[in-house]
Formats: sequence, C-alpha cells, structure tokens
Amino acid sequence: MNNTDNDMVRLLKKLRKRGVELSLLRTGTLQFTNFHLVTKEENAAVGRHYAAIVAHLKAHTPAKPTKAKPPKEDDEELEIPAEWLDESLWQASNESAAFTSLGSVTLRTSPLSGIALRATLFGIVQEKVARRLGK
Amino acid sequence: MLAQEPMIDLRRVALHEAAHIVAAITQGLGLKSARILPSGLVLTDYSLNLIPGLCRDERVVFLLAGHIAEVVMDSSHADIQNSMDDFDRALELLGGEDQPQILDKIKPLIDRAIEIVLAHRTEIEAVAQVLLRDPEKTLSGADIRRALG
Repeated sequence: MNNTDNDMVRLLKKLRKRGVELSLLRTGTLQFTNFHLVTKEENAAVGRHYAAIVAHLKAHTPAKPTKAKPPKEDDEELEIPAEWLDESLWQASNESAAFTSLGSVTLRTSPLSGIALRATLFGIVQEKVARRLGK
Repeated sequence: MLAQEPMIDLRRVALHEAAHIVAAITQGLGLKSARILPSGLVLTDYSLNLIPGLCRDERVVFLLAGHIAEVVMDSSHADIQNSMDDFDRALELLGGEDQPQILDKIKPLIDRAIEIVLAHRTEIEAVAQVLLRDPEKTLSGADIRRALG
C-alpha cells in the first residue's frame, strides 16, 4: 500500500468513526451518508483521493445483479454532471476507467422542471430585483 | 427571405458567466474554468462538486447569479431560455416535489444572489471583459485572476 492509499484509508476510517459512510452511486458519484459531519477540508481530501476511493469502494462492494431498464419514453435529457465533460478533469482525476466501467448514467425526467415552476421562479427573480433596485 | 441564425449576444453571455464566477469565488466554491463559447460554462472546484448536498445553498446561489446579473446589468437583453438549465439545476439541488416548500427555500437564496451581484457589479463587468477578449478560449481560474491583475 503506497502513501496515497494509506492517507485514503486513514481518511475513510476517520469519517466512518463519526458515522459518515461513503458509497458509490451508479452514476459514478460518491455519496456521503451524514455528509453534514464532513468538513470542507475533509471533502477536499476526498476529492484529492477520489480515484483511490472509487477503486477501494468498487473492490469492497459486492456486485449486485441489476436488470437493465429500458429508457422511459418521457425522458427529457441525459443527466451527466457538467464537470465530467471537462477533459482536464478527466486527466486530473486519472480515473476515466472507473467512470466508464461504472457504465450507466441516469436517464430521468425531473419532476421539478415543470414550466409552471420555472415561470414562477423567473417571476420571483424579476420582482425581487425590481424591488431591490427600487423600480 | 431565409431566416437568419440569431446572433449570440456575447456581452450578455459574458455577464451571465462572469456572475457565476464571482458568486463561486465569493462563496468559497472556487473556480476551475470558464468559457463563453460555444456555450457558457463555469466549473467550480472539482472536489466540492463530488458530494451531493454539500454547499447546497452556495451552489444554488451560484446557479441563480447568472440570470440575476443579466436582469440587473442588462435587463433589456435578459434571456430566459439561457437560464433554464441553471434554474432547473437549482430546483433539483433543493430537492423534493413540494413546490411551495421549494419556493420558500429558494427565496432567501435569490436575495443572497441579488446582493452578491449588486455588491460586485464592477468585478462582474471586469471578469466579463476578460472572457470577451477571447470568447472561444476556456480560461482557468488562474488565467482569470492573472488577467484581472
């Protein structure tokens, strides 16, 4: 085990002691349980060790048989975190294999992207700006 | 007459992205890179983006700031279409399906975004000018800092 791995394991143990668990989502994103117990510094450390943590979780998470679901007809968009589209990030993370091998990205329609809600929100913004500017 | 492709209002896009940048920096989200063409994109600190839920409010304010800057600084050209994705992502970050509850959560964050834009109009204008110097180039946070001196 090299130094990076040691640091990563120490970090995971420290977090786990406080009740924080890291899990790997099918989208390739790490998720904290009890994330409110994580400081910004610890979160940044997780970012630094991201590749090692993904590899660690993959190795220690028993594979579950999953059924491939056909995409729904009303799916609007392919939801891919914008950060993943940045090439330099892929190089920096040095973990493109993990991203690709994790496979599927989430296909879903957000129930919150309704026209009515957006229109309401735009209206609120316009009103608040106008009020703040005294118009 | 053939319909012409609508010209991209580069200044508006630059102001929009510049506001995202200023909101990211002022709220400690950091800045990874930014560009305005072929479409506006600002990436914040990679490590802070990994964890769903972390810095949620700051990220919502970051997303709202772009459109708010358009309304505040160039209201005659504010483009709702351009801000749809930002608003959708902000709403998703706040989660849930209870619309009144989401609106209650987002209202103070709109106020916070408005205050950031109003307090940093000069900086937003300056960052927009940097982005406009080479619209097709993706600038790193360090590039922008250097250009601003």
